[in-house]
Amino acid sequence: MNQQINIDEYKNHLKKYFLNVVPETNPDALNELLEHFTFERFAKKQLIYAAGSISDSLYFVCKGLIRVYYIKEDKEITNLLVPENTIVIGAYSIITGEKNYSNYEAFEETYLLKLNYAVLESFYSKYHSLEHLGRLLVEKYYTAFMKKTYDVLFLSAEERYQIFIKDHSELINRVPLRFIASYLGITQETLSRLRAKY
Amino acid sequence: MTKVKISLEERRARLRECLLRIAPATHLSELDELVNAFEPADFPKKYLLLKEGDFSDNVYFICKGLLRNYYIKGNKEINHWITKEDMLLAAAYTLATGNKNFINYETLEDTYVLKIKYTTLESLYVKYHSLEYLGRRIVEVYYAAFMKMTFDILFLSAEERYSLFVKTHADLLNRVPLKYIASYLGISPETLSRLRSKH
Repeated sequence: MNQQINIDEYKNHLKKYFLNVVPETNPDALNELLEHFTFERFAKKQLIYAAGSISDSLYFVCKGLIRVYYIKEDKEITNLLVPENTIVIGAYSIITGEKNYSNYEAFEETYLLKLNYAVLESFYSKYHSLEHLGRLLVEKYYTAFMKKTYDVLFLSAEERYQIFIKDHSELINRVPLRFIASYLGITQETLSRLRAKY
Repeated sequence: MTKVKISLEERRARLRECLLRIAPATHLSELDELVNAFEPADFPKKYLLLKEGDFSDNVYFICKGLLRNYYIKGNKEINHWITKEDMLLAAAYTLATGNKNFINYETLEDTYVLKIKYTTLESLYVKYHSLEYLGRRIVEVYYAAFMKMTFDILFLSAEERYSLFVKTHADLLNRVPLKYIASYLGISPETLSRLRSKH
């Protein structure tokens, strides 16, 4: 692996991610915050968080892909696939201090920017502008969680598949179909039928 | 609706206390400005506060009373959440996305609330740092509760969910019709009766 790792460029992507959530974020405060993110590299199949552990950090995916899954009755159920330029966080554990329910696995070789949540919160206290960003980030994750829950409750398998290819078309070729089927809550046979149709 | 008088001062004092539990370091003068921006409203029992498909940008604080949030799936009402005193209620998903609301909110008792427009709440968050922190903590608390409910349904047995319900909401056993509790726990009324006689 001789690929050049350009951390500044990744931090720039993270900055864009934040500015996309709140464009008027104070740039000096944001730059100061970005300095505290550290770079981490995970090999394919390596666990970032295990179910039962406590999370204390927030991660930004620079390169690669994270699969979030839980185990029920000896079966792995994929509940999230997190690609580049997205933040991933063991939210339940971070907010409550209790254990994670899910496993977070590097599904490909994955580069992350990491920040301890307590450090992040100290920046929220220091700058109102970052506290505002922090509130909107939490709202964004809460909304995404509700949407995932409601999609499974209220949409048909076909509608969920359509949303998936709209939002994550690039993942179709990166993720084996059995994981996509599990994510969509459908059987592999149903997924094959839907793929043939679209 | 039998007239129970709950004064505005009493309601605001209750809200103030509840918010200070969530964020104890909130600046008191700022908190008062927030609490005083809430207005009272009363709803009779069986009142549909918000129905599927509606948009609402109100945030409610329950001073006295009880609501159930339910959705309809395959012609069946599924009870999703029960909101009681000292809890906040908003059509959070609709509020954040502008998308269609899936949930119905119905009072199970005469219900006395304080309410505020979300835009008013947000303008106060932006005005004061300590209120912005409070706002984030509120979202975190309700986000964690929503996740917990989802995980409980995924990972716990009917019996474990029932024990947890009795432990955290003992007061609701006599206030909420059993069919709604069964639906909330994701079990049949028969299973619930069996569990009630066992414990």
